Amino acid sequence: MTLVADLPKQAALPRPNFERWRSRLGGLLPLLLPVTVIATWQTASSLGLIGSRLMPAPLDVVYAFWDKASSGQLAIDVLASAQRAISGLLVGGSIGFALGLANGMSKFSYALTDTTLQMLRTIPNLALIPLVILWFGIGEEAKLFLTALGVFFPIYLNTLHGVRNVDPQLIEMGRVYGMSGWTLFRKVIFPGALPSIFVGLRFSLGIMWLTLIVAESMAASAGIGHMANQAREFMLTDVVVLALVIYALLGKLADVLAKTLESLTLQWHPTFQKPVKA
Amino acid sequence: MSEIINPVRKTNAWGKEIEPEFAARPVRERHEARGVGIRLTGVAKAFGDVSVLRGIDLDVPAGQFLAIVGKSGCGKSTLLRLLVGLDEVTGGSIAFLDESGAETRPNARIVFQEPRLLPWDSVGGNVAVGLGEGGRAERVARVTAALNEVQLTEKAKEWPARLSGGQRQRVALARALVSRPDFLALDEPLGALDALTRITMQSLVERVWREQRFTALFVTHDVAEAVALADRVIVLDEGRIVLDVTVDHERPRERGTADLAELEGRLLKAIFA
Repeated sequence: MTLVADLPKQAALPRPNFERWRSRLGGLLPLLLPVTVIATWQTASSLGLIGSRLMPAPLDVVYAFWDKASSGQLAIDVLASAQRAISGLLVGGSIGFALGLANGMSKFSYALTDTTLQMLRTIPNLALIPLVILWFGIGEEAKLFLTALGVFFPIYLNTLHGVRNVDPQLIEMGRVYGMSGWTLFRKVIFPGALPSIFVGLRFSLGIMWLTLIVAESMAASAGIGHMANQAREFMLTDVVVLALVIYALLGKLADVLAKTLESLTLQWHPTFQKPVKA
Repeated sequence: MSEIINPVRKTNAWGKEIEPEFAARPVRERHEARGVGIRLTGVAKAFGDVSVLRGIDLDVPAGQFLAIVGKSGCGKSTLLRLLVGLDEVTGGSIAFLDESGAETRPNARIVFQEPRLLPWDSVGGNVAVGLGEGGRAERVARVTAALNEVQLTEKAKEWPARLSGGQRQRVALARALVSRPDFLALDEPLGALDALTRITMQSLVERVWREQRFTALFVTHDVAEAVALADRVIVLDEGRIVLDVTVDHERPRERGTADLAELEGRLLKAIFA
């Protein structure tokens, strides 16, 4: 009798402690590696093992940040870059989204445009730079064109894939229950394609920043790429590294925004549901 | 006298004890038929060279609970798809008849083997799909009533992913019932459920049919299920009706009685003849 009564207690005791430690450490674990690297880097720089001409010490990057931020130049540059990024995303993304939907739902549209688009997709968009400069010069139009083009393909492909992979049984159910046209799209096709569209969006955000970095180093009067390019001419390695850090932060920010949007709109999806407490 | 207190014994059609939730409510039995009559004359269906149905003649009176059994590939699901308009006949004709015998358009609904719920809509939203577009205030009341019928009112705001298989199929049933159909087609609706859930679902299907008296077409591969639920069972084999029997036992039926078992035997013999 005592054996039966004692068993659950013994089994239950060590668990909560272990779980608590795991969750505490789990929160810090992703930070462990970057903190170690930066600490080692700073120590090596302070000891003179790394020449500041090649690689600035982390603290120098912080000073450079402070310098740029307090003069207001940093805000101007970040704003200029963000503006280009967003307009490129809006233009390329909405064309890709529209074509993805059209080709997913209409066989005619698919037959007409998909082969052409798939051919264009294989050209790296940055290989178009010489042509783009000839067409648009080196102004804003060229940057917008390159970013929009880069963003277009992931969104197009994933929207198309999402629409084509909506469960045909659900579409059949919708038709039997009297849905057609816009209602069928709004209630069945679009929500069914949404997870895939988000994959495309997050993919294209990565390409968006990549294209922008290159496009901004072409020629610009503001922007993070411009800041980095100018710093290179004056051998200001700390500012160059600062630009890289800002790109990384902006990229992460965009991804976090997309992720938040995703989890808000996909609450129904088992992946985004909080586990039920039994 | 239209109220029959069914659950004194709390047993289902097979004489087994069932979940109290379904047994607890009395059946508000409806005696007059409300559904449409269906007349099939020489209905044939071929997919390319493959002929699936070869001349089906069938008269289904309004309000009848008709079960179709047969081996897989015998054409029973095809027949059901023709009746709900998912496919077109390649020969013969299908007519739906009102009380006076005139042709009419049925308010037909279907329950599939899979629940086919929209995972991105709540349980209530999924039931509302059965109503089509229309007035908002009335919708809520009707959805609640339909969910109440399948005893899932408290799950109205839940995501379908949170429900069990049996609960999902009950939502699918509520979605079919919410528009008060006069013809309900069920395509092996309990085929994917476990044995115990099937039993409760069978009594639920029987209950709603007794209360609403729509014309029901129940496709199944389970002969015992057909005999327990239907007024009439037809056996399809290679696209033809090979047996047509009436089951006029009182409801709810007890399973395993000698004459029902004998009937099951006859049906099985016809299927494997």
